[in-house]
Amino acid sequence: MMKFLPPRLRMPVQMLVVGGVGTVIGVIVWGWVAAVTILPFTLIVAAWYYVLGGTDGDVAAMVLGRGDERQAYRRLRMQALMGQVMSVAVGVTFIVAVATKTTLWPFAVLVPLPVLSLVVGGLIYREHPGAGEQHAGH
Amino acid sequence: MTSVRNRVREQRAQRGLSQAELAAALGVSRQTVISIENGRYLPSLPLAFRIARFFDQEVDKMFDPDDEETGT
Repeated sequence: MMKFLPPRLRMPVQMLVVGGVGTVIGVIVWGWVAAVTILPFTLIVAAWYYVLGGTDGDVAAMVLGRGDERQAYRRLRMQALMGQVMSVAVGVTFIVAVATKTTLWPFAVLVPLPVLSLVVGGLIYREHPGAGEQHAGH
Repeated sequence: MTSVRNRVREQRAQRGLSQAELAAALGVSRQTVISIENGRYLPSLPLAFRIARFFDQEVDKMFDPDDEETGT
């Protein structure tokens, strides 16, 4: 799809198309207020993505998904930090929600998620003992 | 943490290559070549072998751990 477009233009054009459709739907459902919010946001993000595609930096490589091993490792560390921050944020928000006696049911999903994702990650990325495994002392 | 000195900058300069040219030859970004040359990034084993082979050197001639103990 969109093979006729230069690679740098493909994602911004897709964003504009999706944003345009979203704007039309928004206008039908919520009126012209939606156009005022969705359209500028779409234009800014698409323009930012296009500009980023022309730069020669780590951020561009990471955002555009064309990074090498160092950039992939850096992205992984950033995602790990984001996961840790989110886990702490969920815990803190839960405490605040209990203290202020607000709705707690969303936390029944959010609180177990970090632990669950750790367990799933451990299972997905575990090392399988291979045929070439050697025992100690041999 | 073990710091590792390397001779990437020296070898690249000897061959008159730019960082961008070396990066293209190794299939990595220019920023990664800069980071390796400055010792900020320790390349993976496959990349270290690619670098060594590109310069026709052995890996341990290209990368030298600073805390390497002698006589052991």
